[in-house]
Amino acid sequence: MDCGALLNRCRQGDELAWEALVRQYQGRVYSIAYHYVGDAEDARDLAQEIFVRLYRTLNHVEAQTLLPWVVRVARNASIDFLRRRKARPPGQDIVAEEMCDLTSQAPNPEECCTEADRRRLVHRALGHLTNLNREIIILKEIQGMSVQAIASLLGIPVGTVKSRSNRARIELAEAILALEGAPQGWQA
Amino acid sequence: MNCSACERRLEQYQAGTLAEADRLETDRHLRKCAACRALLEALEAGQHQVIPFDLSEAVLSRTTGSACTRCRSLLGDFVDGFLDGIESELVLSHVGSCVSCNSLFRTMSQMAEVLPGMRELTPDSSFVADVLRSTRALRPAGPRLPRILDFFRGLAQRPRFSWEAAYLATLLVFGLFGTPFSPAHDASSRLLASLQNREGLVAQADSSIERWQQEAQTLVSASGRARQTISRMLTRSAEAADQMVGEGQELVRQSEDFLKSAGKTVQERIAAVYQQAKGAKALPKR
Repeated sequence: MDCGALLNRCRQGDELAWEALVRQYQGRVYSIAYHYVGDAEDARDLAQEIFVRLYRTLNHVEAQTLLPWVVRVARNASIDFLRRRKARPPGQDIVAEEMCDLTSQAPNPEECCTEADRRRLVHRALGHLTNLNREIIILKEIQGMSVQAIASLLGIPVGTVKSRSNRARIELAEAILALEGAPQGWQA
Repeated sequence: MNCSACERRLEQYQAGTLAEADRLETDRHLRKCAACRALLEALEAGQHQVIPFDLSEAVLSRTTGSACTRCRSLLGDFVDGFLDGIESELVLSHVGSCVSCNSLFRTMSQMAEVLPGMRELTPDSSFVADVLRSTRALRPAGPRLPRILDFFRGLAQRPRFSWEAAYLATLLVFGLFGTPFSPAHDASSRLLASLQNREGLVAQADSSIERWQQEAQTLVSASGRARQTISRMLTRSAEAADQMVGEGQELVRQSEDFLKSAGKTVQERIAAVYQQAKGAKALPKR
């Protein structure tokens, strides 16, 4: 569906268009909220709040920049949430069944569970990173944003994002290995 | 062949890759030289020796230190396939021999597959309905100025707007000026006082202007006097210059007269000498 037409309809108050927009971006918004706050229930509430913010500011966005804008609003709302909570994300476990609900391309349930285990482990390891490194992993490696966009969003130089990116991945890999307790590497 | 030449060839000799002539020459030297023979035997024994597992680590610890830090700085690019040529080979070699870097490499490789898959997470099925319920009462906020204009336009288009505006204006005027408790009930007296105060200010301004005018006149007269003085000085200097020019001209005239009289005297003297000479020439010969 054409993004510009969808936006125009949303601005005119078309509920169907707004529902389509929510369905289109709920995965990303919920993912960002979940990886920032670390808790499924909080992430659900936060994702709702993010969509309310998006709805209030629909007139300020162009169709071409819709996705970066969604990511920006989601990130800012997550940071606000964390500030309100005044604590780091706890990095709690979530049950494997819940993780199996994730949008996965695994062809069968066995692979789905393996994939879910890995994701659960990554999510727990994310909770052990520093704030900046966690943000860089979420935005760059998970959300696939460009280095320039991340630098603009976080207000830091591009060079810092580049150098931090490798360090963050190393830190995450070490955290995964520490959590898994497997010195020989991540077991597939 | 000397010993150093033999030592350079020993490796190839051992591998059997020497040319025939060189091999024969090396053979001859080895038969004669006990030291080179002993070296060859040591090399052959070393081929079957098991290398200590921590030899390279021990060497690194005594020279450059561990290469893990350098490897980790390149590991991200290596996993992404951005390293090329020798750097890639070096990292691969280190990862093949270092257990901890190998673990990191394997974990990061799998992270590169898993992390993009976490881009979207699907919340429960009632999530969309909850969002729609939250936003039902809202309207997307537009730019602020048009919204304000729209509000006032709608207000003005109400049927009894003029009556309501007149009523509100009357209330406002009465509230401001009409009662003893109104904030502006003594506005007229305050206005008068401020006007009087303003007259005093005007008088002060007038006197200041007069004073400035007098000072300006003083300045003008002083400048006139200065101009006269300057013109007098100019006149005097012109007169002095004229006088000097006249004296110069007089001197020139005197010198011309002197030159004329001197010229005349010289001519007369020449004529006299000429006449004398002529008279002497006219005397009869004896």
